[in-house]
Order: sequence, then structure tokens, then C-alpha cells
Amino acid sequence: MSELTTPNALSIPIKDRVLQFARNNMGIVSTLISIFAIILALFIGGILIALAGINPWEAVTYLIKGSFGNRYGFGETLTRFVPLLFSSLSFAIAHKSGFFNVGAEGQLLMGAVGGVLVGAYVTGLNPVLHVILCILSGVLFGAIWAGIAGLLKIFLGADELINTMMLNYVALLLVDFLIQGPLKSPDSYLFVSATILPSAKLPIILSKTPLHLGFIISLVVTAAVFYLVYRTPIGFQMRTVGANRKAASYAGINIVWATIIALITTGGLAGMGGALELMGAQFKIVNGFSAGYGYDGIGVAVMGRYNPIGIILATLLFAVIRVGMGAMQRGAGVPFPLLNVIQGLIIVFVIASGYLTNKLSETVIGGRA
Amino acid sequence: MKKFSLVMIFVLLIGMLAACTPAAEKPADQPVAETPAPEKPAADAPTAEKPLRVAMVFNTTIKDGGYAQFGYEALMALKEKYNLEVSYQESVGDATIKDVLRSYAADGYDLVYAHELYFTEAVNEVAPEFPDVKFGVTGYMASSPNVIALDATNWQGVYLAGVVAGMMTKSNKIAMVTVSQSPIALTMVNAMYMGALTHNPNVQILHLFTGSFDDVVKAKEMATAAIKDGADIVYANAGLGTVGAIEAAKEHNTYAIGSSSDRSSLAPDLVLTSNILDSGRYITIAVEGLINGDLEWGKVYVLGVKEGVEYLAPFNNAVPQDVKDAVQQATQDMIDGKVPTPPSDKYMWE
Repeated sequence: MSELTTPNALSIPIKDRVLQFARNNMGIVSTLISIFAIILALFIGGILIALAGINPWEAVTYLIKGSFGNRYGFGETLTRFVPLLFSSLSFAIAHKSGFFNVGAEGQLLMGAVGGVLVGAYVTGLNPVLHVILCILSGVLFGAIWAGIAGLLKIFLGADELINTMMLNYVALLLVDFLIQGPLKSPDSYLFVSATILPSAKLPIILSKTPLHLGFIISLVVTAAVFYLVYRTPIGFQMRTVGANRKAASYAGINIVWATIIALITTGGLAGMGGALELMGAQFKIVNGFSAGYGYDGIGVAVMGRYNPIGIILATLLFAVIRVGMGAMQRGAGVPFPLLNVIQGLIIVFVIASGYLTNKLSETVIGGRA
Repeated sequence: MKKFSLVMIFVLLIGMLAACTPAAEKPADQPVAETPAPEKPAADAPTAEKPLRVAMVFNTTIKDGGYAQFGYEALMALKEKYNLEVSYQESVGDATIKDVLRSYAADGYDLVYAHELYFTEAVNEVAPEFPDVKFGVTGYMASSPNVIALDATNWQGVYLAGVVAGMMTKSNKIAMVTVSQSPIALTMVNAMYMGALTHNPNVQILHLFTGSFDDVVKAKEMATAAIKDGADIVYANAGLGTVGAIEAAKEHNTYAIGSSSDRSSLAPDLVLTSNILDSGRYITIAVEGLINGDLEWGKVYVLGVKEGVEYLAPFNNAVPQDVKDAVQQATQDMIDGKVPTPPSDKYMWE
């Protein structure tokens, strides 16, 4: 008779207990699901590698070893992290502000152009000042590039998805033109831009690796950007405009102003990524300067669910994949096309896991996490 | 909807259990086995001293049927011959090349070879950081004492093709399709002219350039126009356009000379020969130079007919013996250094 009044744990149906656990530990569950997705992708990738006649454990070992297992690989991973983080932040901030910016690739390239202009042609500056000016120039160029699409949207209602994407090609070809003509290094036989001056180069923060100061800057900027979006009035306005333009307008928010701030932030972030990559890693613009960072940034932002911790972790994952793939090829001899397949698998699985987590949280909480 | 989600969770949990088992095993035994034995040397150790470790970097796929593939095949042949420990990375972009070079160098490879002109500056930038590692590049600059740059003359093979073209033409007009009017292209045009002049004082060159390494259609149109203009030999050295130009020759039953690799399969009766640029020789020269110690590091070597980098592919049946003899003679002249470098700033006949 007492069972009716005080139900103990065992008598609750299993379904409710699972739901209750999930409800209380949503963070852990969603993290586990993401990790599981990666493991599953690697598992399927491993089968493919085995089919190609290569020992999959050896290949996976090289993936880990190449990106974390040695000092150089670790530094390289964190160096790749920087431009990826900036382009994903750029996409995430645009998303929060109701702006679909797939033009990070072009903005990053233009940021690098801005960096080269100041870094290579402005002489006689104190290194600290030179570095700061270089970064600001990169931010400015990136912001202008995003601004073109943004102004078209604000004043003409032109679709920013198309415009930012098309501006990527304009930027790519413009950079091609610049490194073959006006910005071409006079003492190089190849089509590369002039090299930035030593005073504009970022210092290495971990010796014997390529890891440069940009890594720390990137983390600081991430914190600053999310402070701007979540803790300041203008950030609130940006998010409100992003959530519902009409409601924001009705609430008295200056939509044009909020969008402009969002634009400067999103384009500026991508441009800053380009400038830091230039000043810390490459020192000059070469053909294919941005190895698809702008496009990967979209995947990173989606995977990181547009929140700072998520984005940092997802960026790290992408950087590990990028660096580890090279190591898999060098060490285990995994063919390059197969590496692309595995990379695709990881991305698809992780994004699918994001969808799954959303569904799960809808079920147990009744809303999105 | 709830049911669906629950099923998904269930699938996930089952999958997680299944996947966890192997994943847990890996860290336990793998690193222990991995650290002391960098795989292959263990087996080879008793036979000789530590095998030479050679790494090679390509900017395209190794299955490109040309430049990179020759290099890759040469690397594999060297591996067999000298019992090397080799590694390679393909499709490396200009933006990541420095990281790849540093990874190899930090990994203790003896020779890191970058098989691409555009890697020259990166190699010269990275090399001073690793004075104990030898670097090689197919390029034009070696600014550090541990770097060697190997480059082709890019004209000696064309000169030989010119000898063939000059002797085979009846209309005294040779069409030449290249990519551009760059100094390298002008050197090739002049080499063709010089080669043709040796046995034919009345020869004329119709130089056409496509402006692109992969414009097959334009190369074909240009070659067709030249044939209509009276040319009866088409020499093509225009990247992928080479195929288009030979196609045009085939349609008009005109002789052609290919370039880069043996193009005879495109039109066996009409392709007289091809001037081959054997990009596999670079890595061979670098590795053998390292083993035999007869290369001077910190130097740029410009290689041609003498070193076996450039030569003509086997002739087809249309080529008579006296032409073959003339090519033989021209080859010898070039090895003896009797042929001057053609000018690169203007057409010689102007």
C-alpha cells in the first residue's frame, strides 16, 4: 500500500528515468554525443583506410601524434587554430545579428591585403605600433569588404548570402591581380606579394614551433566579442535585430546602426584573422593564402552552436584534423583523396550530432539548449 | 516525435558502447610500441647502417600523369635501389608548404625535397632553421648552405626538337604553341629556331601562345590556324593545351612534336617525337648526390641534356635515319658545350 504514496526510484518507468537524467545533465550528454560522433566518423574512416590496405590504428595514431604528440605538431595545430577561430567567430556574430555572412574567405584575404599594405610599405615604426597598425588595417579592410554586401542589404535589400559569396571570388581574383602586379615583390621570381617588415611580424610564443602571439590575441578577441554581444547594450540590439527585425524596429532599436556595428564586427574579425595569419605565419601573400579557412569557419560555427566555448572546441577539432591529416599522409601513407573523405565524414557526423542534440533537448526540456 | 528521439538516443548509446571497446584499447598499447620503433628501420637495421630518410613534397596529386608522377615514381625506384625510408605528401598548397617542410625536418629526415618551383622561397626560408637537414627544391635559388636547387634549362630539349622539325618540314614553316611570351617561352622559341637552322637556313617559326596552362580548345584553334597558314610541323609546349595542338595536327594530317612526356599515343603516326622533361631525374640526382657526396650544397644546378633531364622520346617511323643522326650529333654538341644559350628577351629573327 505504501508504494502508492512514496514511489521509489525503481518504480519510475525506465523512459522517464532516462529523460530525467538527460534533463539534469544536458551539457554532458551533448558533449558525449559530439565526442561519440567523432569516434564514429573515425571508426568508419578506419574501415576505409583498412580497405585501402593501411593499418587504421597506425593512421589514427599519426592523426593524434601529428597534431598533439610532438612539440612542432602541437604548435602547428594552435597556429592553424587562429585563422579558423576568426572566420568562425565572424560567421557566428553575423548569424547572431541576423546576417548571413559566407564571405569570411574574401574578408580574410582582404584583411591580409590590408596587413601587407601597412606591414610591408610603412617603414620606420616601433614594432608594437607597427603590429597594432597592421592589425587595424586588416580589420578595416575586412570590415569594408563585408560592408559592401552589408550596405547593399541595408539600402537596396540585396541578398547578403549571394553578395558575400560572390565577393569571395572578387577578393580571390583581386588578390591574384595584386600579387601579379602592384603588390608583387620586386625581388621574387614568383607571383607573391612583398614580405612584411620584421617590425610587423608577430613574435613566436613557443620556441621551435610556428606558434605566434596571434593565438593569445585570438582568445582575447573571442572573449571581447562575446562580451560585446552578450553584455553590452549594442550587443543586445544586434541580437534583437538578428532575432526579429520588425520587433526590434518596433522596440525603437536603430536597425541600421545595429547592423552596421554587426558588419564591422563580422568583417573586421575575418580581416583580423587574415592579418594575423599574415603577420604570424606566412609574412607574405602567396597563391592560395587562405587554405579554405573562411569556408571551414562556417562549419566550425555551426558545430560550436554559436557559443564561445563550443566554437573554441570546434575550432580546435578542425585544426587538429587539418594538421593531423598531413601527418597521416606523411607517416602512414594514407592517400590524400581518402583524407578528404574522412574529413568530410567527421564534419557530417558532428553536424548531425548537433541536430540530434537539438532534437534531444526539445524532447527533454521542451526547447532548444 | 518523442518516440523517434528515444530511438535515436538508444541507437547512439548502443553505438557508443560498440565504439568504446576498440577506442579504449588503442592508447593502452599503441604508444609503447610506437615510440622506440619508427616502423621500417627495425627490419633493415641488421643489414646496413641506418637507412637514409628521404621526404618529398608535391603541390599536386601524384597521379597527374606528368611532372609530379615522374617524381613520385623516381622516388619509389630510389627507395628500392638504395633501401631508403621514404615519405611524401601530395597536394600541398603554397600556404602550408612551410609547415610541411618543418614537420619533416623536425622529424629528422635526412633529405627533404620540394618538387615544385613555387616552393623555392619557402625552402630557402625554412632551411636555415634546420642546419643538419638537407633540403632540395626544383627551383632557382639556394641561399642556405644546406639547400640545393635543381632546375631544367628548359631549352636544350626544344633545341633537339628544333633539329627534327627543321629537317622534316617541307613548307619551312614550323608552328610553335606555348603558354605565354615569358622569357622562358622566348628561350624555347629561339632554341627551336636555332635547332631548326642547323640543317635548314630558310626555316620560319610561327609562335602562338594561349595564355593559359589548361586551355585545350584555344591551343587547338591556334594550331589549326597555323596549319591553315602553311605550317607543316606543330610543336606544342602549352601545358594541357599540348593535347589540343596535337589534336589539331591529327585532324589536318600534319606532323607534330609533343613535349613534357611522350605524347606518341595521341597520334602514333604523326607525333614524330616529344621533348621530354624528366622531372624524376631531380630527386634521383639529389639522392644520389647525397649518397655519393658529389653534389655541392648551397648551389643551383641547371640541368639539361647532359644530365639526362631533357631528351627526345623514341622517334616514330616517319623519321628517317639522317634526322636521327643529326639529333645524335646535336646532343653531342650540347654535351660538349658548343651550343650557346638562346636569348630570352626577343625573337632571334627580329
